[in-house]
Amino acid sequence: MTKVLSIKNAIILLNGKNRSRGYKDFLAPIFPLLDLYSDIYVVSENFLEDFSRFMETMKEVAQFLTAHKFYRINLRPLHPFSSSAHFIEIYTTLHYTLLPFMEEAYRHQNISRLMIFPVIQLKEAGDEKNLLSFLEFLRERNLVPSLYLQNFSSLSIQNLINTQKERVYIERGEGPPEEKIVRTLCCHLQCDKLLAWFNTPVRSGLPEDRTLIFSEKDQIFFVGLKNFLTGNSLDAHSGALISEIEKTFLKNYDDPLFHNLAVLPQLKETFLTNNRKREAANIFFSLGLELVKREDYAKGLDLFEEALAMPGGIDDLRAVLLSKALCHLRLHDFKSAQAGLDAVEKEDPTDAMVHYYQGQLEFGLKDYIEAIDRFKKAIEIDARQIPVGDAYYYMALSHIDILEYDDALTCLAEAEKNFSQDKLSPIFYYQGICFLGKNNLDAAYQFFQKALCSNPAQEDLSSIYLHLGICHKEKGEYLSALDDLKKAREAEEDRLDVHNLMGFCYFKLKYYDQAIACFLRAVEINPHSAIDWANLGVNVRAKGEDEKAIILFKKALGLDPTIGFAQKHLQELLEKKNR
Amino acid sequence: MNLLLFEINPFTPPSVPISLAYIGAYAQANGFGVKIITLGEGTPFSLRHLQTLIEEYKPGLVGFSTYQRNIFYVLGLANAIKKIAPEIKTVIGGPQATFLPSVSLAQSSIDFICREEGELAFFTIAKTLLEDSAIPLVPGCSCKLEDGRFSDGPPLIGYTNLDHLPSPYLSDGLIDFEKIDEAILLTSRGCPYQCIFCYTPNAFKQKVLFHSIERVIEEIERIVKRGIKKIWFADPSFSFRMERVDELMENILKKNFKLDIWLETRADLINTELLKKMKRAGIKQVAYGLESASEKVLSKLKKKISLDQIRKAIDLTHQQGIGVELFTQFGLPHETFEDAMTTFRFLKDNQVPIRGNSNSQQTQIYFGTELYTHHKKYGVFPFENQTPPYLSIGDQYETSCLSSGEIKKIKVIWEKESLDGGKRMVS
Repeated sequence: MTKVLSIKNAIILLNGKNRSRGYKDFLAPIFPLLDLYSDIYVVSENFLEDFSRFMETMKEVAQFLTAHKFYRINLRPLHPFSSSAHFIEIYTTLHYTLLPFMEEAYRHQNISRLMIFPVIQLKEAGDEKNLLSFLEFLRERNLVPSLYLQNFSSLSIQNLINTQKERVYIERGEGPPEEKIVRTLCCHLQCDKLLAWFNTPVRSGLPEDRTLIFSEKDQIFFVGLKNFLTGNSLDAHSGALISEIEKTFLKNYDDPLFHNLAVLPQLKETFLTNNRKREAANIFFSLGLELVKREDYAKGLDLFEEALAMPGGIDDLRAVLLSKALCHLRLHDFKSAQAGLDAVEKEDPTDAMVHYYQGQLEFGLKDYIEAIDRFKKAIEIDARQIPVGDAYYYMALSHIDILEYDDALTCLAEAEKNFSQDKLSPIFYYQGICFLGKNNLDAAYQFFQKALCSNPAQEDLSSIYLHLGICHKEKGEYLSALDDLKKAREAEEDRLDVHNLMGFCYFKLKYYDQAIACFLRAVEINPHSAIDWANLGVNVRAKGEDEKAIILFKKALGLDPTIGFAQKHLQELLEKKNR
Repeated sequence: MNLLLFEINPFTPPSVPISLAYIGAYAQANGFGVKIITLGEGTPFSLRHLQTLIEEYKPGLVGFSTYQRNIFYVLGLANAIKKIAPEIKTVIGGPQATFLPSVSLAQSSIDFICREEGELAFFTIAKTLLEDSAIPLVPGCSCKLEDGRFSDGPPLIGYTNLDHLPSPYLSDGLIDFEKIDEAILLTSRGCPYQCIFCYTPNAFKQKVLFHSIERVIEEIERIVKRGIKKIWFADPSFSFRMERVDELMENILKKNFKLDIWLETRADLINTELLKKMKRAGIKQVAYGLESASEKVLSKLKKKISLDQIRKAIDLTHQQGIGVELFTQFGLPHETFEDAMTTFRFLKDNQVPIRGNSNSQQTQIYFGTELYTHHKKYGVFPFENQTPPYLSIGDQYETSCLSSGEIKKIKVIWEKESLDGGKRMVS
């Protein structure tokens, strides 16, 4: 189905005295884009002056709800607190306007489809007595109030609010008042979405920023917080407004993780203030997992730490500790990874996943025998709990590292059964390595070819071509070897082993100049490569340039005095010179 | 022909639409295209979505899972669909539909009311529409005639072997495994008991039908393979045949699934041996129906269970290290305020935490229950509040023993003592 926009939240910034024309016309096309259950915040600096506009908004909403009896919309007026009697009048009027919907709800044994949740803005502590009676007045009329605090702690007013049912918004950050309000609201809205996302048994991707902001003063729309903060607006008068809104929204959908992370610092405070610590811990964990999926292990680790630091506790502590260990592992902090895994293993020694990660850890530490044991144990406990294909794969690599090619081939065959078709190239490559190790050049060559034909990753191309070249070289087919090695060089120019092998093949073909060029590039890549200095010497000597060759052999032996052929060449050259 | 199924509940997050998935699986296996849309609180879905969905998917028949809580929204949605494409036929099914008075939907946009097994009834409607049959009477359904009246079709001959119904978990594309972390399974259907507040015995004519153990294990295997470890057995009386449950647990153990299972059953259908096995198979919570801890009230519910049996079941379950939940109600017939408090204290005395399913709720009086049919006899007095005829009494009543004020008071007491505080509006 075509991807369609739906707006979860709208924020309307009212204009005070100067009423703009066409307000209703701007709003009406937005309603069909709203979620079936959505919220509209109406922000006013002076609610007395903006009241008629708010009523206009409410009438539009009511009309839409009457025509579409499967919609539910909450209106949330946000305005400064005033003890003025006018506010009592205003909310009494609003309460009466809601009555038809309350009656409908009552008759249908349901919740009202139109509700008002006032958000009362407090700039500083004080006047608690009047505020308290105003809040009580609202509560008695089912107009559940919330408080919006500007730069002061919720502690001073905690006795005023019932956090079981009511919300505390805490404004933080810099910028003009409107910007701070929109940022704070968006942060809270994201908080709600994350909570809903976390609590649902049917969980799709991370919640997106589906907020539409309308500035009455400038008659412009902003699609999402990011566009509001960067001033990227859409003209309300545009004939193609709806399609422009849709286009911008769908573009925003691309990366919900970015949005969630951007509001994270304020989310943390919001969760804590509103006593949702347990959920917060679990949400931080879930966001961390999303980062791990993107291989951003450092940031993922930070979020796992945040999750563990939340006082509310976490549902699945074992999963967090394991995920933390995985991040340490990927960041090559083996000591921390070990400590984390040992702690989980102590709690449950029969956890297959722990053994799997321990295997990964030992592999990272190059203790291949221990790694093999761990992977085996993980599979033995419960292969379904672990990425079993990966376990066999790393077990195979461990066997290769200790030259147990037959065992490695057995493991690779098992891995092959568990890998998807598009990810088989590395398996074929390592099967080739095994046959090469067993000196079965034809079989090795076939597997390297298979690896090449199985959609290999760009970064694997060079290794595959290199090993195809090695197969040819071993068979004495130096020209064919050079064909593959050139492709390996093309895929990754700065690989020393490729230049080295090319130099060797050229030497065998007696193309000394080309061989020298290859070895020169090799020592350019690694000036400490003694073998390549020695190879240079061999080729230079073959060209009859003995003096140069002596210098090169001395250089090579200075770096590594054990290179036998360099010693031999040098001795011969020196003897010849002294004769 | 394409078929569209809706699960709409604006008050809770979307859940696994297991009943619709069964219906969809049957229709899909019989050659229809099926799409299930689950709309819950927070689901991104707008009027624009609906228009696009109808225009692009072009369903011939749209079905709605319907219950007391959502029927208002179902009717609104059906109306909107008819406005977009008047030729589309609509059907409601589910608990509210089975015993719903037909006349209540005369003015609505609903064309069929499903009265019997949803899989067969929904498929039969679709097949009839596809064949363009002139006879609007479909077995197992009430069908709207041209004048707006409904006419009942003949009874449906259902399956006696549940395995004939394709599994949603073994069918392709109906359950999105990527999006769920808990699977709901039905290993049996129906209930042989006669509790006066429950619609299930009447809906299933007091019969119980079972899936084979092989089929259940096959489903679990598929679920586990897709990375899901949490299972909710939603059978009304899971251990009605204890030897069958024993066999199922045995098979789960053999397969070493390592599951996290929740189930509900009766307190008299459990014993130590079975609980031991359940514990080993991964059962973490068992929910029992207590309803009321007043012997007087309980005996009149026709539940045929005693408080001693419930106490014993709680003890045995706790002994095995399995969590216990108790379903309780208040506002039951013959229940006084003190009786309701007895129930409240029963949970505390038996160390059952008041959270999740152990949060009590007011009795909901639904169509099809004995309590609805004979409410006067049970001393239940519905409010006179112009409730639409498609709604049952629900919680809009007081009893000869409890005023509405007292019922509200009991509700507040339970809410206050709840460990999870109920649903909050704040973040």
